[in-house]
Amino acid sequence: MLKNKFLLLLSSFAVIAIMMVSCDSNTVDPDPDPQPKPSPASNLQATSINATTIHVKFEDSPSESNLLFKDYQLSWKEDGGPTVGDSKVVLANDPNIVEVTGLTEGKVYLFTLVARYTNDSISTPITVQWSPASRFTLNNNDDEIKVYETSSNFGSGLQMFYESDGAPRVRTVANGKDWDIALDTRDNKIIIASASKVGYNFPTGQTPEPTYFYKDYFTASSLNEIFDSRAMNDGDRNSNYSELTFDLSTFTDNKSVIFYVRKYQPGQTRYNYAKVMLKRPASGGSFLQGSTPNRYVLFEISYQKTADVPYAKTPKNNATN
Amino acid sequence: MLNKIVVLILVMFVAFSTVFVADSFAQKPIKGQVVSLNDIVMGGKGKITKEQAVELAEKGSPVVFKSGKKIYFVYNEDGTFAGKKLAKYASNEVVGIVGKTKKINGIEIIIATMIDSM
Repeated sequence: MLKNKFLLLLSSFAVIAIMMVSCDSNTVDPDPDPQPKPSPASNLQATSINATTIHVKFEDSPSESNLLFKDYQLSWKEDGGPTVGDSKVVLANDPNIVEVTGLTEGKVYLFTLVARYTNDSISTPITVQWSPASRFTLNNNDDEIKVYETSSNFGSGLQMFYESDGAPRVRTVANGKDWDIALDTRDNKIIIASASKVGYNFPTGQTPEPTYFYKDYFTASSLNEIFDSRAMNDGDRNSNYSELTFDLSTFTDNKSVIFYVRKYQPGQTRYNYAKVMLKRPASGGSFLQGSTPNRYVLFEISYQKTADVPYAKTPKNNATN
Repeated sequence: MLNKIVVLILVMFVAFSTVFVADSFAQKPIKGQVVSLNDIVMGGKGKITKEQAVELAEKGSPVVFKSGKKIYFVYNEDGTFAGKKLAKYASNEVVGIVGKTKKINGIEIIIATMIDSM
């Protein structure tokens, strides 16, 4: 009799428990009136303008046409650094290229962009990691960066960055050890190459060290147009640097040419990265300007002084050349 | 009449010859160093850094070009003195100048069309 009562009691508890669970599940019903949320912007990319400035570019959120659309918020902080960073509001009618200043060369920053509605809901964030880099349009003599044709007595070799003068400089064959990039105009060609790959007669002890070029070059009117979202050695890129030569004498696109380059600086075992632009004259035509035998090509250089910072975040699984 | 024509041709020949002797233009650069004239006058070698040279040029002190034993005053093609431009090359071991050389009253002059490090 007692046993039956106990079983009945247990059954009652079980029924009550099931009812309570059922009641609980009723309390987490979906919000009957959810807040609409904007779609994110896309294709967030960056480029280094100088040692303290980066431009960030994105494509519009499809939600810009929604009446609830308010703006975008771009925020940034040093990657792995303090959690508090800075931010900037970008309105829908503003240009999609945002300038961020006051940064430090060699530090990688995490940029995050969200679209916002007036109801305070925000889109899924999109991110890019980037570092500013020094920009050079002038050489160590405060003159344009001119590299001369092979037949000239002036230098046909470019040193991308000369530490003592804090700028690029142009060198002759007598100083081949300083060369990073060579210009070779023999046989009516315009060859840009790793200095180690041109057949110049460097004096003993002045043979240049290799400079590694990425296999593809890019065309643009300005270095500022070369946006990217990946590190210069990201993934498959890392295995596609070698001592290359490019013949630009038959290059017909009327734009400038940009090369991704990396090199160990003297005594170093880590790469410095650069984006080197061979400038097309404003009037168009051949890259070679001036008159023989002192024709020259003009360069502009974006150079990352901090080793092992390929502008963006270094991938963890990189091998070296 | 024939004599007059001959004389005229001779005069023109001499005149052109004089010009070509006085003005010499070479595509090959003249090699040398950027120096301080004041320092050379005071018995020094004239060697200066870029910063010193720029400062001297700003003050109007002559920055000149030494090639071998010759001291050149360097001018721009528009006739202005190129001391300030030259000063920016002072830190280079070797500087090359392409242009026209002249000697006026014993003073060596280069009208520079190109200046660059070598």
